[in-house]
Amino acid sequence: MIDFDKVRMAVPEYKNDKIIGVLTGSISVAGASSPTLSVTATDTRDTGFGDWCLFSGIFSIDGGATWNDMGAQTPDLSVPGVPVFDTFDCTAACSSTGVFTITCINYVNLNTGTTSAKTALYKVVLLAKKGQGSITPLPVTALPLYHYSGFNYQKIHIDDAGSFTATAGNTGQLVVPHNLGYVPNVRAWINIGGTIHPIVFQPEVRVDATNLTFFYDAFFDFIDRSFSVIYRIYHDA
Amino acid sequence: MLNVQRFAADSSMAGLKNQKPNSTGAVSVPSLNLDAGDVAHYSFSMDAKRTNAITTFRVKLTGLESFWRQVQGYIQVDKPDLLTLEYSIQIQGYYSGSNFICDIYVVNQAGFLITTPAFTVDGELNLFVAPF
Repeated sequence: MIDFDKVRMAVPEYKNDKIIGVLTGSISVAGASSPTLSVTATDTRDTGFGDWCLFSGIFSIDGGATWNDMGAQTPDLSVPGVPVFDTFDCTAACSSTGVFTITCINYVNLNTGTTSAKTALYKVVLLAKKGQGSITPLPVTALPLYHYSGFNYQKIHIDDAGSFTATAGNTGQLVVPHNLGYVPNVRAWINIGGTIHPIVFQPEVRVDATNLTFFYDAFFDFIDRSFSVIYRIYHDA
Repeated sequence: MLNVQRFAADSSMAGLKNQKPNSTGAVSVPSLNLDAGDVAHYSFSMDAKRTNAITTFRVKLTGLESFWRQVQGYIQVDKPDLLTLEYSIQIQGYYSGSNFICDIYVVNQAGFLITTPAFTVDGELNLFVAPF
């Protein structure tokens, strides 16, 4: 006989990212000429979750040959001494009720005075937030949603949120100790007025073997206001 | 309805057994003499294992900083700082086929001839999820 009350297993529990859906699509943006500065087109996608979630996305404007991170633009350096960094951008944001807005901005090239019409392909993977609750995940068509123990997963060490108040014209930082002893991978988002955005550019996401630091400079914001950041710090495999 | 707290969903890379097959790359950027408006462009390539994916990507600017910066979209490093700006460094990445290209742009923001310091950019790509 075995007394199951005396059986103990030391099984560490690591949470990992849970894929709760994928959004794919395309957005066509018209061309334009100066004095127009840019043309914007959006796609609205309701997840039906009724709640916000985390996400990460990529986009392509060459039919899928190359894919940029959302928020990253390909500069045009064709005219020496006159670089153009605002060319074409695609970003995603999630509302407090789980409605995504994918926004594409087609900038008029300052050197040529024109921009051609473009079509952006986008792919966004949706990740359950901490305490996501009961939802109906969106279907994922390319791969089944499954967990296979033969794979090694990116395990979550800290899944949390913090806030800071940025004061106009001042630098500041929010320090999150992780004490892992190595530099972990991190994902981070910012809540601006109830809408979730990936953190691009600012606040800077700095990582060392002890801390995750959100650093913002004097130009981060022009009014005093509070922000909430959401972060995931991952274990090494 | 599904309670995602009990939902063991996939975050694997098909065919990749370890979550740390980190592709790495680096490029040394020499000290540069940049005229007003000049941009120096450097890049390096890493094996991204597949044509498109979701990753985490980070860089370290040895010679300028002691920490790593997590890149989502792009990062911009302003030196000496945004108030007394002389040059900025913009770093971003993109997938080209099964490679991940890290682009580094060193931009003269001063409006006059400047000399930028030498530094090395180390990059780490961590393959993450591939639901596409």
